[in-house]
Amino acid sequence: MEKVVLEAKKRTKINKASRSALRKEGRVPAIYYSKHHDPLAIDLSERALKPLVFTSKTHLLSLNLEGQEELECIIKDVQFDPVTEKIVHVDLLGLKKGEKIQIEVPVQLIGTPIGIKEGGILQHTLHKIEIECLPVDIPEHVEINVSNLKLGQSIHAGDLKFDNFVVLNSADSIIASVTHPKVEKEATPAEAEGTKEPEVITKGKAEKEEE
Amino acid sequence: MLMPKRVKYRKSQRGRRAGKAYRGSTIAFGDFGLKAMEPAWITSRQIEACRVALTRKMKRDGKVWIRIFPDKPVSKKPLETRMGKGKGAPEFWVAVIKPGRVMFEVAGVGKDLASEALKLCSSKLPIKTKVVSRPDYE
Repeated sequence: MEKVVLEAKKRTKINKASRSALRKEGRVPAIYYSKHHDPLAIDLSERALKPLVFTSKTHLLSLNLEGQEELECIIKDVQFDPVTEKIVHVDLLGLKKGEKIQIEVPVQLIGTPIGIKEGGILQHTLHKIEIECLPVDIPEHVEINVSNLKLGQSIHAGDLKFDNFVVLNSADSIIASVTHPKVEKEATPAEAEGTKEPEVITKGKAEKEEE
Repeated sequence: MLMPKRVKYRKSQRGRRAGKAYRGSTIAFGDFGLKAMEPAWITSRQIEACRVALTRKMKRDGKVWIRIFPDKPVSKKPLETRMGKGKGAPEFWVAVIKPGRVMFEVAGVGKDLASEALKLCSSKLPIKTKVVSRPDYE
């Protein structure tokens, strides 16, 4: 897996005004935490962070803290602004050799399913799966071969077996499936008019009347 | 058209629509989505028009998700009625939309067709919107 060095600065002022000021300067407030390290409030360059967030690969980060410390970590969580979609905050999880971690990795489907030739549609339901593994074994992404999928068949998380890591998603969660194309029904005139009124729940009243 | 099957109360007050949509602001099912940039009441007719536009443009390919539901009744008084005598009868249903809300999602089609379909869908709505994709879409 690709290792990326990120320059980070410690944050001394922890308040809303300083965070807003940082964002205006093109920096992103972040936090580094791990079981063996006190939480560290830091800030990162937005330009350096973007290619690591807007990608379908997982990266191992080496955090260079003002030239003093070098910390290994992964991106655990990213917060976005709902309107502008800018990165607002990042959580970095510190790694320790030999200690297992839980991480979400992207899923990539490989091949064209047989079911598509039969007229089906490939549905990619789960774009990320949660795995547990050692830091050394973190994959960039998980490749799943779907070329044997027939119409009406699906791949579940329980079907996946890997040597280096364990999939934590529930065994019955669907990752990809080939389904029948949905035929659109024409709405009946009564439905289209929308004249029907919904039923009003009058449970309380009915009970009172019975009394 | 979309509306609730059962409701607790027939009529509702107008409410406020300040702030951003912190929930439902990321793409959850598909690859591309249509995001609201302004607050609005989107009626069930507008949602239906969007759905028809999307499915017609995409033909039989792909899948469409509608991420909003009109659960708020809007009442109106009849024409040429004097004020008073109580609240009017429920006329239509709306979904309360705040900026940032992903309203529609599509998957199973290419970027070009998806953005064309979503732009067509956008023209059926009374607000500014933008086409967005999953952060990890490549």
